[in-house]
Amino acid sequence: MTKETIKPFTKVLIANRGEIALRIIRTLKEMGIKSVAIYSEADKYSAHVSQADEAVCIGAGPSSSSYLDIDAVIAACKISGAQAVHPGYGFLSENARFAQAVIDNGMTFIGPTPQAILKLGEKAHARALAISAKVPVIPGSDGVVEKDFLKAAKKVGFPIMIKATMGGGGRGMRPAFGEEDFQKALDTAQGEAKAAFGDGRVYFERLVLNPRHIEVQMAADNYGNVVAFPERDCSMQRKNQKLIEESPSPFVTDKVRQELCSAAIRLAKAANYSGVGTVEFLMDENHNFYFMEVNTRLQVEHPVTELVSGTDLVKLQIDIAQGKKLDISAQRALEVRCHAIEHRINAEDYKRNFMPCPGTIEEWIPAGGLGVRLDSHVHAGYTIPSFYDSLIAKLIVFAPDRETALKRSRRALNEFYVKGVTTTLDFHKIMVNDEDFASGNMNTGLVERIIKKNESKK
Amino acid sequence: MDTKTLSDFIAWSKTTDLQEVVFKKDGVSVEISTAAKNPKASDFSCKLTAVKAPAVGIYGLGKKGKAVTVKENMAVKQGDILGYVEMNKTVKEVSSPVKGTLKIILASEGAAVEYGQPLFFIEP
Repeated sequence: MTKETIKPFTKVLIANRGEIALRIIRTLKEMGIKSVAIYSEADKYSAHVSQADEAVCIGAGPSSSSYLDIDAVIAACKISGAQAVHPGYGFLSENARFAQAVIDNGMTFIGPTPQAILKLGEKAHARALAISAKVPVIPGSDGVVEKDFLKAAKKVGFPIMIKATMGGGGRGMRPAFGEEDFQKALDTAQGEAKAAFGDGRVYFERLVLNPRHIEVQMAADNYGNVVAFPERDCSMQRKNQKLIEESPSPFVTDKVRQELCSAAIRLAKAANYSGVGTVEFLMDENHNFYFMEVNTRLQVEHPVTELVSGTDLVKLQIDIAQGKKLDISAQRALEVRCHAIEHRINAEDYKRNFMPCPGTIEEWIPAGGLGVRLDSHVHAGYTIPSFYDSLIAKLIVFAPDRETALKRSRRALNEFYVKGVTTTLDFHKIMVNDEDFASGNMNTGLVERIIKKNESKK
Repeated sequence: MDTKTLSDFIAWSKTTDLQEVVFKKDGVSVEISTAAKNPKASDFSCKLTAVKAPAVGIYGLGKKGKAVTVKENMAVKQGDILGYVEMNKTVKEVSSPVKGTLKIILASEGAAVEYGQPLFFIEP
């Protein structure tokens, strides 16, 4: 075993805003590490600014002039004297150039190496790495199919999606469910591709029917030790935006959990990964799972894993970055201590296509009580700037089992009262009362079905 | 106190620049205060215009030989360069937003500055 080399931090800069910046500051305080917030002109009165030990204004409201401006963030790091930078999620968190700039300026990037970010950030690279680590990927023709079409399709295995090589926006894309409809689908896809892109070439990919979005949180130290936590089910999403995340998945069995977690660990090891990260999979109705991508950072939905496993993931990140060895065993990480559900409360109007509704919060009465955690940066009188995302709170409930957690969700959602801006609270109430969701029978199409069902009721 | 005395008293107070008068005698107590006692923001005016830092970073007058000069009470034109802010690998000019006289200098060579922090005040 390599010897542990620890560089303790006394001051950490948080290169982010909103609830996640506040989340990180909270852990830093508990660890006795000074925190430095950065903020844009639009966030002057934000909680992450007032809660941090120091704060530096780095630019104007638009993200491109502040939170996404690498030079501005690095300049703030240098003048603050921080030894490390926590990137949060979004903004520069998966930017290898930023991670490298932090390192080049003599600081520690709290996250994986720039090399690992690059390796896993590029889709084709990540897929190749997954194949090499024997992590299942969605079977495909691996390149253009030019002859023996049916043979190639059978090799991939029906049902398949026929996709145009030059495709995009759904054009030149046709599903084929078996040999019977294959020829017709192929002709249509090729014809459409030729008409739309002037190139009729196609490739095949296995169609994962009614998939669930299942992801595995893992953590790796600088010495090659990797652990994985119980999976999160994020099937409740709309246009790839997650609305509800829970752990464990009501669909995943202990055996499948072992397989998922060992796949995630194999991939992390193959990528020489260090820090926390998430491996995302699609899972079909027969529990077959396929690798999608790796998020090389902390995720919005990390609190459900924190509650299920009883682990502070931000502290884990900071410990790893300081050079500590993982002090949690693989077996301990996999323990399921409760059931946790996260509701992302956005300032959006679900009745108007989830249109963002920035504005001033006039009244703010959050939910509380047993088994409720609220991660939020807002308060009564707070004005939501229009420059950034519309997440205003993460309501996380936890209970010994899913049924109790759902009851708690309903109770907490009814308690939560916001006046002044339109929020998605009401839509969450609809979702938790949906039969399919309540019985754990969800897939990535369920939210759209709930929206349709609700519209037809009017 | 009779009303005539009170009227005389008010008339007299208007000839002065007193903002508040308290009169107490033989159990009689009169307090008069004028509107000027509680000034509003609009009662004041400041002619100084701030020159704000265009970026977060380190302020400086510029490279040797090409450095700019800033002195109190010097005349400046709109757009005059009053120094630079080095934001990691980018350098941004600090330029005067107005024509006038440089009244207050807050910036000093090598100082760390935040975006929007006042570096100078100019009297237009």
